[in-house]
Amino acid sequence: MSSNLLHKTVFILDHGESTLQKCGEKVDFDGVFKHRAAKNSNISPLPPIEKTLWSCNVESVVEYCRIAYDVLPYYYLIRVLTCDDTCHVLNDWNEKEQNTTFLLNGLAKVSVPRENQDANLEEGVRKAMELISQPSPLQLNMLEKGMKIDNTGRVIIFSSSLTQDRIDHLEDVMSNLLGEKNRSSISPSKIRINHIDFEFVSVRPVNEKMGGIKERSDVLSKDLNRTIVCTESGQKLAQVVVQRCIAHYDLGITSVTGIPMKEEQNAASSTNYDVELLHSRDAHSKYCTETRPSFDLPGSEVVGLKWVPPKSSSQIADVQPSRVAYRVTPVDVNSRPSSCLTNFILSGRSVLLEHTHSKQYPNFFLAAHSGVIYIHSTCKCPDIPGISEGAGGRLTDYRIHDFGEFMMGSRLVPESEQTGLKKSLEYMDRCLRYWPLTQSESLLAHQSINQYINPLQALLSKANLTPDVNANCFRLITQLFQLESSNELIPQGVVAKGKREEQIKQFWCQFEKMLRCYSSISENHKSLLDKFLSVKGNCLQEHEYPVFEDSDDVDKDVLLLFENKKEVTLWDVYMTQNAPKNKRLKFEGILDNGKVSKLYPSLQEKELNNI
Amino acid sequence: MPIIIVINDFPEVEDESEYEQLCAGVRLGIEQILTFATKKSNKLEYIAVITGKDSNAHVLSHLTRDYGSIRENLDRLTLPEKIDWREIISCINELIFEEWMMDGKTFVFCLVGERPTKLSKSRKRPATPEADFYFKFEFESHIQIMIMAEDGNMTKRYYEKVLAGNNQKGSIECVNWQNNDTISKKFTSSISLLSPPHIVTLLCGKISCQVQLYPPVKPFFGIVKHEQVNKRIGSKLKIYGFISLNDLASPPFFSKHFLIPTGSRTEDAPKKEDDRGNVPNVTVLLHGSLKVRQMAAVVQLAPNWFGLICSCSDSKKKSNLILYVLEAGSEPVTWLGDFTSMMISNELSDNNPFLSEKKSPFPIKTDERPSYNQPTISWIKSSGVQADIQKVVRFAKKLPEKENLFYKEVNRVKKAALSYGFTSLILGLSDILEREMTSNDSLSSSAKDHLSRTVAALRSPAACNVDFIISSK
Repeated sequence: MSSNLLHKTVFILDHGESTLQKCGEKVDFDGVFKHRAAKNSNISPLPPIEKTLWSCNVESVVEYCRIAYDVLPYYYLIRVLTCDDTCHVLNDWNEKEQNTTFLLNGLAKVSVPRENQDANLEEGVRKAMELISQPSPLQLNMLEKGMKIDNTGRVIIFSSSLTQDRIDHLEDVMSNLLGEKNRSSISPSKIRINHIDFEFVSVRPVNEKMGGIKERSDVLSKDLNRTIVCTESGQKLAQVVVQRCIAHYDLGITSVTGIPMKEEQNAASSTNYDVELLHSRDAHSKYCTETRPSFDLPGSEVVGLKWVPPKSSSQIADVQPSRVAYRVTPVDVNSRPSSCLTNFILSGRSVLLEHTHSKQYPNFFLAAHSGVIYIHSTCKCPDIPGISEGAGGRLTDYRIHDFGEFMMGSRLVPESEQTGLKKSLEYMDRCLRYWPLTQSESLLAHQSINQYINPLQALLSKANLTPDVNANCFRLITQLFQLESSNELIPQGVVAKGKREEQIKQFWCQFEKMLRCYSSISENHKSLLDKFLSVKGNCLQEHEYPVFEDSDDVDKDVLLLFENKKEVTLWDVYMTQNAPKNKRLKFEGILDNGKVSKLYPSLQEKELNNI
Repeated sequence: MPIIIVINDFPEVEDESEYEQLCAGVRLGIEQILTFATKKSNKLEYIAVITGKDSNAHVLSHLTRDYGSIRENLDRLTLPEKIDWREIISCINELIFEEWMMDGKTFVFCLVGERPTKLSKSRKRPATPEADFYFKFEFESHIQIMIMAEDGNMTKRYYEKVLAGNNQKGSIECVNWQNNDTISKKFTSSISLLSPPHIVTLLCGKISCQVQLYPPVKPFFGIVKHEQVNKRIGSKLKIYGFISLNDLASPPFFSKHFLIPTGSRTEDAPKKEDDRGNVPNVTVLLHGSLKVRQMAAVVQLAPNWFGLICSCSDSKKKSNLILYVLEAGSEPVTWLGDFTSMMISNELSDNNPFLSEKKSPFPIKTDERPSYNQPTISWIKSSGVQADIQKVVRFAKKLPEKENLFYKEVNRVKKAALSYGFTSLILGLSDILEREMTSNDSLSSSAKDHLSRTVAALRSPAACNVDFIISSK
């Protein structure tokens, strides 16, 4: 996703009398008549009705919001305000109010514009700027962390009563406000505005001539851009507004071509349909340069990708990570082909999309995650260096099954606590201490002895050994002693060098090594080792004791240094790594209660005595 | 990083033995590159050779790790004269673009001849336009220009201008091709500018091993949730748990890298190179288990930066571990949630719903409902209006059985009409229902009752009140 997209957008909807004009486009709503006319001649069609300019403005803005909310992550925010003689703000920056359902509920309450009422757009602009200076939840979070905020926004006015003079005037108002807002004191509820994109959408009824306003886009100052768009109302307006949305959020359109659909439920044959989907242009701008005109959105270009019939298994075979994943939404959300496609994917199936002209570029697929559909690009791994040719690659007795079992128990699941990562790392550190990689590496790894070693290791991996667990551990160890006395300790068929006694000695050496690996976890772990040693005596020589590298990230501080500073010198790195954390050693005799002790308390006494 | 070797701009040499010697010099230079890649880089470098054929750019060897095949192709080498550099540059762009080469920096090695100071009149084709092109690639690159000439100072000046387009990332060397020692020395020192292998420690609990990441992992400079984020990968990759591939569901990644064990464990480093294959290595175990269980290991790369390790196979059934570096930040994949709060299932309290393996905790549930995943009213096109009205009529005909659905749809249309300020449609709906009531003889009297009351309600002033719900009562 491009990084320069604006965080905040405010729509100002002119709610004055002028928007009550008819939009000039007829809506033939009586589909029922067409359907029945042939059968029943005694009914007559109802005359078509007409929307007002207001209705068309609302429809277009809601469509803009629908697309933006669908294809962008939640941190692109939109607020809508209506403007007659007063301003009415429909929603807030918080996540709960950032959806079209919330906006439509608000609009229903606002209702149609009243007669004899003009829109005070100047007040609307003031209000919009006030809204943009209010920090969003994301910005509040950044403020709390003490980060610098780049507060940019876009203000879009929809009106039918604009003249060039009014536009010039509103521009002045805006530019004065930008100065004013930024001069006045900054508080947590009011932040500096760095840049504004100011857009006018001047709407006129269909077939009416253009007024004296020129379409243009200018940079007015370093913190203000202004764009003027003039358009007819009706369906054309919706197209223009969606095209603005595409430009604002850098979107592209994929046309999924040749989707077979049956006309009726049990029809034998099917017809092929195309469905156009909007998404971030980054999804395929690098690969797909060939475009053709859009069908659903005249004036836009689409990239055609061919639908590949899903196989019976209906899964993308390779569930590897993908180079991109972007949210999509249909251009025409309620058309039958669109809803067939989206419902198909929402039901859990993935759809592979192929390039129509090039085999060199990666393919794409559509898949839903938590009820949101994404376009992914597939990714191949060519010419992989085989693992069997590398280090350790020639051995064939790795404990793949045992490690797989360990992995199953170490699956990650979401938790509400932020400490999950830390606790999981500690868990890994405790579990994987003594873990022979291959069957032949250690007698302890042998399958027949696993029934004793595995449960013991599982118990030893616990952070705290309760008396119960401790007793259990010792019981397992005792069982091993018994096996030894009944001569069953070394499993049959073990290929190990040396005599039987040698093997047994080897076994206990390895066993002691294991206990020693775990003994540093807690005092109780240590006492278990001591218990064992009191029975068996030391098997290992001191130099054979296991030593662990300190796994604490020595370079964690250095990494943080890189994040916080732009230019990092070698000196900075050295100081971070080697600078003594406490410059002076703490005085060992310091009092706990914080009081200052008197130095040499008996000195004076002695001196006095000596006199 | 991938290495692209380009051979171009050699002046015509009439003396055959001199030509042969020049060719041999070029081969010797390239041999230094291949030797270096073999010794210092674990044979991981992908190398391609581009030269000319019939005045067009020609790929002699595609990016490959099979250096033997490159040597074979070089036996057929002829030194091209003037191939248009722009053509070569687009040829390189295309090569690198295939697959994952874009995950690292690319080393472009240009072997060129001496440029004649004066153009001979006999030349039919005009020489390459003077410095009106730049080496400019669609990826990060280092450009090394080797001028195969006794005295290449004039030529050097020309390429200095040309290099400016790459922000000076590169350098120029003149190589006396008549001296084999000079060739070896100059090429070896130039290729050693190649990024050193990126070696890190892979930690799986207390089990660790040294691995090489290829291509080296680039630092992350980007904007995440409107915040500028700069990250560098640490020297330790810590595995802190596992997730099944099905749960991961093709997450988007920032870059991908081979994860190859170097085979040198400080304690028991084998003496002979050949023995490396016989010393147990945790990556081989990890690879096997990940493959069998269809899982990925989750790793921490740096504070608040994560990656995934998967096993991956190519079309030739070769298989190895791949590190997928995710976007920096704690939530790089929306449907997986916060990576810092993921917890190992064995450590969960007993009442956690995800304890049983059958219930997958992913994807993370959200309240978000996109427009295509909920009933959405769109009346921009007349067909949208017709469809919603027809639906009401369809239920009207099935009154009183479909009473609930009928009133639900009537209220839905009424509410949307109020939201969109399209009040004339409320009256339009009442007209249609009235016509249905009077013209449809098959309706029961109870159905007609429902309809007449609904028509009256739609026409009453209260219909414009959002909170007024039309019902059978």
